[in-house]
Amino acid sequence: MSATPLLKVEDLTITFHAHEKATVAASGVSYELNSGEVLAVVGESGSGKSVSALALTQLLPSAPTCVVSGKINLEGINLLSLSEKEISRYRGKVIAYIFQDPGTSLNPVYSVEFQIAEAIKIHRPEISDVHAAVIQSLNEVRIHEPEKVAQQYPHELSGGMQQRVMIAMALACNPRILVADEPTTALDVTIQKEIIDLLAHLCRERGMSILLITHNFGIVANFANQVIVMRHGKVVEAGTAQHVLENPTHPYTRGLIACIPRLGQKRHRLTTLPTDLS
Amino acid sequence: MSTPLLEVRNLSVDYPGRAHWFFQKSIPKRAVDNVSFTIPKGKTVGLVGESGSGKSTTGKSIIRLAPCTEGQILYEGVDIGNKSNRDFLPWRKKIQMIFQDPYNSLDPRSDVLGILSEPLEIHFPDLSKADREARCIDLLKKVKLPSEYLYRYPHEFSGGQRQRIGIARALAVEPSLIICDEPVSALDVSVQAEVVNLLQDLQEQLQLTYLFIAHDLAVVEHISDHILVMSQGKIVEAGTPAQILQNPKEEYTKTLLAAVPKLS
Repeated sequence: MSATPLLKVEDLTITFHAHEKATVAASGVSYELNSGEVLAVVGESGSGKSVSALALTQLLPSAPTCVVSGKINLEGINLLSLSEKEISRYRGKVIAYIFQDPGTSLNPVYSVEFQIAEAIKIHRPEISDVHAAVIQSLNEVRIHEPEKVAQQYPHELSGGMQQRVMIAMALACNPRILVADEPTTALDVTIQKEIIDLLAHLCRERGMSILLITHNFGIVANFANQVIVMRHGKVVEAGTAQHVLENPTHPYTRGLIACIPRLGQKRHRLTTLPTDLS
Repeated sequence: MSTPLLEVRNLSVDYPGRAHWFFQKSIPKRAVDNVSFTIPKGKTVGLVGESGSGKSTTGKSIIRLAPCTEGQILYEGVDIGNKSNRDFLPWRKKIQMIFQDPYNSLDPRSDVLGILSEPLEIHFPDLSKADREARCIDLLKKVKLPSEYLYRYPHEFSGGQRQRIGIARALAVEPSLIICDEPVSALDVSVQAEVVNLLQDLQEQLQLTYLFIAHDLAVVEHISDHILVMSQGKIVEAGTPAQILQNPKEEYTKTLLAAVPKLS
């Protein structure tokens, strides 16, 4: 792995100031994302994993409410130093997001086609046949009858279909990095597998990098190349997925891996996280 | 064999469908189609299936959140599926439900005391205010939450804590059967383990019977004594966890099993 990483995050620290109190959401977070690879960020709610992903394209509230320091380096450009106008060229086009809850991420009053077309018109003005591009992006996420789905509204689609539409929208602009913030938590296990397989396929085919945010090590095992484990805003463990899963060194990582119920290994009680972790 | 706590016989549930034109009669949609199963006392029966398979509707029809169109629901041998709402009241106390989404299933404008004492006011109207409060503190203790939480509001709690409050509310009226409708699918894996353990502890302490509805076979396998697999409104397979896991007969069960992420 001698190649320079696509995205390099160094010493990212995020502090929220509210009610005359400072809360550190992430402190000293560093990681590297290589192109074509999947980096999983694992942690419980409140560990700072989503916040540090939102900071990539300055999606957090501005100062003084939220202070972000450190470096986010994308091919030699520090994303944190860009102005609002400059960063908006990166949002969606270079770094695209898909969120946990597709039901609330889609706009209920516009059709699927309108919403995907909007993203294409903004970020890829060179495309003349927008309709064809929309249908193509729906095809890529393996939606049957894309012509029909394009005319539908979010409430007419199931959760799995909504998430596919979200992915189609994110992919329509051909991003280099896809940030998937718990993309399958709201979905059934069977759909979860389909979505993960789809992301893995797109990652291979397009050489796209994925920053996968999750709390479930089960998904990490099947999908990620690299893993960082976050707790209370700090990275407690980092390494290749295989290494972290086989030899977790931090007790928190061990706890997270142990508490997943496994098929065919019936125990009397599920392991829970120890409360006295340092 | 003694009578099971709950027996469902040939249950079908129809939801009103959409009429395509004003004068046209709407065609009802069958959500649950001729389903039969029994739940023995003190056991846990797991019900797995995808969204839209009718598993939640089955659970809901037992406590009348969904209509029972055809068939019978027998609680200790008494048919409760065809009773009028008024006659059903005594059974509401015996069957309770825990919901999937701990964010939407608690009233945001009521503190924990209010949430827990409402069922007590209805089903135990003779209790004095002090007694009710004492009971509520006791309920919080059962779900391992500190008693000072009594005067807090739902938004002050995390998902796992809210789900515990939901469990405490279900326990308030001392039910025998609890229908758990995806109680852990909205929670983090670590919190999920804690809530599953809590449910199992409570089952031992209070001799509870569970109908555990979920889409995650790994969790269902862990908690259940018997598993039912539902697809498109029908039970396609039933058996002990070991049978389902080692010898899945239906193609659908195999798909479900394959979908569970495996740690290599």
